[in-house]
Amino acid sequence: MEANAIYELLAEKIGDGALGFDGEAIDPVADVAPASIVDACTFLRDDERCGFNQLMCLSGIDWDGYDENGKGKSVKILGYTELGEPETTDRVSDGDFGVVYNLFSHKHKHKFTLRVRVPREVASVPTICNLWETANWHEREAWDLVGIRFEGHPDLRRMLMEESWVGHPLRKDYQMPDEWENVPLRGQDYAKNPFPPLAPADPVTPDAPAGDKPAEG
Amino acid sequence: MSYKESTTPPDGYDVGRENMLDFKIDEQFEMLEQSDAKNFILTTVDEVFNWAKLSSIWPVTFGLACCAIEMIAASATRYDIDRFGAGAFRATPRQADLMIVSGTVTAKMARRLKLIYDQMPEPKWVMAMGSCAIGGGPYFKYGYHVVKGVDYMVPVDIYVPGCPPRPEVLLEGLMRLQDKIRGRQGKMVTPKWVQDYAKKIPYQK
Repeated sequence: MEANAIYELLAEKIGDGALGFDGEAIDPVADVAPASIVDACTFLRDDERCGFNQLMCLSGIDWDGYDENGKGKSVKILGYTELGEPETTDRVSDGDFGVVYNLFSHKHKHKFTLRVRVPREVASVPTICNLWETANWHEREAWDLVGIRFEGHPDLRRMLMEESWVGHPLRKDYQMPDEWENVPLRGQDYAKNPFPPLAPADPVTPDAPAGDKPAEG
Repeated sequence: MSYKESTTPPDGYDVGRENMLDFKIDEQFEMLEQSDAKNFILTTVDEVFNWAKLSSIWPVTFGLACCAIEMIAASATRYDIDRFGAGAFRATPRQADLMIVSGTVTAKMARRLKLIYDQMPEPKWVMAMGSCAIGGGPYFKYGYHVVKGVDYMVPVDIYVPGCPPRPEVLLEGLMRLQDKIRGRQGKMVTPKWVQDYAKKIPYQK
């Protein structure tokens, strides 16, 4: 089934929850309100005409630096300086967060993409991990790296970083850590020679007999 | 000034006890100083021990990233790190002498790496293999989770550059480590013939 027809079925089902559709994109994507994402996913999975039995991927997005349509250039993210110091900035990020769901149907061999946009200060989306088991770890990873909280998730722990990690590293305003639990993460100034020059060696070796000077020349 | 001349027996010291010893240290040292073959036995034992150490370096099985693939290739038949006695990759650090840090040291792995290093018995050596282990490599700028060089965590003996280094470079680093072990202990850091040869070389002016 074409993506246009799938979106028409979806819009008929969830009504105002369907916010828009981009059929020109490489992956046709439908924008869905965060409150309607569970209904939309349940419909797409259970309806015979859609039959999306697999969630291929779930991604978190930081739209900081992009305009309303998701176009534009990304902002400069913070890193380490050449001397290994963590960079700092006064800029306050204000972009929205997003979650993208890539669906696939083994029965009908068609794909569809859903997209959810939430404000940055909210950063909370209902979970769908009771629909597809795959979403469990994907949502944990999105929470770990982007910091999007999935309401109703049974086990929302960090996926890649340790529990004691501070911040969410793939946010645009993430500042690089100086150290973490006594593990140094900053660099060092390579202009400084870490090996101080050795004192000039005594040309008279200790084993040489007294009076035996090295040959001049 | 000998030992006897420099010290006077303290009060209550039984001088007769010294004569009960089956050897006398001062006389032995004087004999050694007078003979031509001074320190002969001591330095030779050290050399034998160092030769034994450098001829059977057992690395710990410790691969972190793509450099580990090159390390595996170096231990396979084409390059065959076993020619240098370092082919017995041990599955436990308690049997290993060398830790080849082959790959990116992440923040989570750094604590495990320190634990593995602490479990290795002395004498032990560390080889930092690849750009990531040396100084962070391509993760220096934006690597929020990468330790910028394994020498922040453990002391490093040999740095093997490359991204990743080819197996030949790893073998080269191993041979340089063997050179380091060869001159590690004992008074005979530089062999006598090398010293004699160095005396003949004129100084650069």
